[in-house]
Amino acid sequence: MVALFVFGVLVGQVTSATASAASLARVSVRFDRMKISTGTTGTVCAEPSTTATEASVEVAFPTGYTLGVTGTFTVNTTNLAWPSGATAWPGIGTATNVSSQTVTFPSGELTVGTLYCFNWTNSSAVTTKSSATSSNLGSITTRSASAAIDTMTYATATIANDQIVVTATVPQAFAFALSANTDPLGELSTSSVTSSPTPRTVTVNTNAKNGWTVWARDANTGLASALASSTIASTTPGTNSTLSAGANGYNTGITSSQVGGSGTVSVATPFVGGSTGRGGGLDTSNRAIASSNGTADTAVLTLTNNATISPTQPAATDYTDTITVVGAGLF
Amino acid sequence: MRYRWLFLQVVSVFLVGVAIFSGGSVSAQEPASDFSLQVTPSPLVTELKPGTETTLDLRIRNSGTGTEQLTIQPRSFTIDDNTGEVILNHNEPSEIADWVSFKEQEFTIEPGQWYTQKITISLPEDTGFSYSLVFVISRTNNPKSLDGQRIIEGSVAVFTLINVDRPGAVRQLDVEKFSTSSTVYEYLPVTANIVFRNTGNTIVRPYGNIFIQRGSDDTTPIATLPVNDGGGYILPGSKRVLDTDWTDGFPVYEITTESDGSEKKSEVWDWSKAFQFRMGHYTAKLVAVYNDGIRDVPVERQATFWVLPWKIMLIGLIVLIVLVIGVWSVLWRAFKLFRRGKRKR
Repeated sequence: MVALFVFGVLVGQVTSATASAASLARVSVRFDRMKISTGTTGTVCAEPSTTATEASVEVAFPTGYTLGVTGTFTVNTTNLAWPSGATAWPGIGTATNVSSQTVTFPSGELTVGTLYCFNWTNSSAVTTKSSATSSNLGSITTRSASAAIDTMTYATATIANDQIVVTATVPQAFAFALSANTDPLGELSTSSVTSSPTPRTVTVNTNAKNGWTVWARDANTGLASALASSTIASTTPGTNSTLSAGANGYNTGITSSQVGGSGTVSVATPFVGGSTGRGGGLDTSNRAIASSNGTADTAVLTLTNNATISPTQPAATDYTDTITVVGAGLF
Repeated sequence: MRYRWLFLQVVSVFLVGVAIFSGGSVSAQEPASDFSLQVTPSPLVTELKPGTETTLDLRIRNSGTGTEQLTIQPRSFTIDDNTGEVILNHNEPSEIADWVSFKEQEFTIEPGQWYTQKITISLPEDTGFSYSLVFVISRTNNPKSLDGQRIIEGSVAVFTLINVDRPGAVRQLDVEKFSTSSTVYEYLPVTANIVFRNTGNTIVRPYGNIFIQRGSDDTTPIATLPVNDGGGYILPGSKRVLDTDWTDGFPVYEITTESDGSEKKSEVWDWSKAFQFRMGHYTAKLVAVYNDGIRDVPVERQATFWVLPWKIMLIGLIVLIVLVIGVWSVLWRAFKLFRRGKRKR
C-alpha cells in the first residue's frame, strides 16, 4: 500500500512537471519533401510564450519518420521563405542528441513574442514515413538546462506520390485515325432526313492519363452551293437538335464506343446523336465534339451527318462542305 | 484451246495495265482515303532560361495506308474559365510564334514510317514566365471537294508548354473549392471535386492525396485517393477541376456511359467486398502539394459527407421491429400463461 502511495505521488509529480510546460505561441515544422519514404530537409519555427533562459530545443518527429544519426542534423538560419516576421534562431547548432523520435538542438535565449526559425540542411537526417497519412503528429519543446519551458504539437502529412517520374521508355503518345475523308450524302429530300450512308469514324488510342479531346469545325457553316448561290445552313451550332423533314437542316450526330482504357468518353451535349436527324450544327470555330478523362484503347467516335431541305431550296448538284476534325491528347 | 489461251493472256495484260495506271494516278494526285497519325510525346513540356535555345523532338508516325504530305503549324489556345474546356484557335500564338522554327515545316512520311520533327525554340533575353501553344499537323494536299460530297479533313494537335526559369517566376496554387458532389450518399462512389487555380505566373503541376477518414485528425485513413494522378498541368491564371472517386465500398453504384452520352447507374453487390460496407459520417481531407522550385508546398482542405444506405437500414429496422414484436409477444404469452396458472392455483 505504501509503495503504491509513493508511486502515485511520484507519477503525480512527473505529470505536474510536464503539465507545467506552457504552450508555445505557435510552431511549424515544414518538410521540403512530403512524398512517402523520401529523405527531406526542412524548417522548424517556434514562438516562445514564457520568459526563461532556453538552453535547447527538442523536436519530436512523427512516429514512422526515420531519423539519421546526430551528426546528420546540420542546420543553418538562411531565410528560405520562412513565415512572415520570422527571425534566425539564436544559438542553434548541429543536434546534440537523437533519442527515439526526438532530436535535441542547442539553443540560445529566446524572446517572448518573436518567431524563430532554423533549417535542417541534410536530407539524410529525416526520411518521411512509408505510408500516406494526413495527421502525423510531432512536437517542439523549448528547454532550460533542467526543465521544459514551452511545448506545442504540430501536424504534417505524407502523400503517396507528389511527382511523376517520366521514363524515357514509355512516353505519352496519341494516335488519331479518320476512317475516310469523304461523306457523300447523295440526293437530299424534302420528305425525309438524309443521313450518312456509311458514317465516318474517328479512332483514338492514347496512354495520356489526362485524356483527350476532339474538336470539329465547318468551312461553310452549312452545305454550300456555288451554282445556286445558296447554303443549307448548319442547324443552331452549339445546341442539340433533331432535324424535321421538309425544313432546311444540317447537323452532325456523334455516338461513341471504347474497347478499354481508364477514360470515360463524353460526347459534347450539342453533338449527341444516336437517332435519325439528331446532332449539332458545326460552324467555323473549333467546337469540342467529344472528350475523355483518361487513357483510351480504341475509342471510336462515329460521325453521322444529317441533312434535309425545304421544298424551296434551290436545286444544284454542287452542295458541298469541308469539315476539319482535330484530335489531341490533353496536358 | 489456243484462242482461249490467247484471249486469257490479252485480258490479263489489260487488267494489270488498268491496275497499274489507276494505282499510279491515285497516288500522284489524291491522298489516301484514310488519315492516321501517331505522335509522341504529347504534350511537349520544357523549361528554358531566357536567352537560350532548345530543340524538342516530336516523333510522328504515319499509320495510314498512303503516303502523307504534312505540314506543322503553331496555333494558340485558351482555356474557358467557367468550363475548363480547351479552346483551339485558328491564329498563331503571336507572342511566341517568331521564336519557333522547324527542321522542315512541310514533310512527307511513308506508310508505317516514323518521322522526327525537330522543333527549335529560341527565347530572347526579355521573355515572360511561361508560354503555351499547340502544334497542329495536317495534310498539305487535302482531297478536293466533289459535287454533293462532304470532305472530312483530319488533324492532330500537340500541346506544348514552356516554363521560363527566370527571376520573378512565381509558382503558386490555390484550392478554390474542395467539396463532395453530395452531402449524403446511399452507396459509394463518393466523388470529391477539387478546383485548383494557378495564381502564379508559371505552369504548375499539383499532386497529393485525399484521405478518407472518420475524423479530421485520424492518424490512419480508411482510404487514400490520388489527386491529379495523370500529372496534369495548370496554366497561369487558369483553373482546373479534378474529380476523384472513392469507390471501394459495398455495395456500390456503377455508372456506365451509353453511346449516346447518357449515364446508366446500377447497383453492384460484390460479396467478396462485404467488409467494405460503409455507413456513417466521413471526412475527406485533401493534402495537395506543388513544388515551388525549392520545396513541396502543401495546401490542405477538408469536406464532410454521410453514407446512409437507407434501403439496407430500412430492412434492418423492419427486421429489428419484427424481432422486438416477436420477442414481446412470446414474453407476453408466457406472462399470461404464468398469470393464468397462478390464478388456478
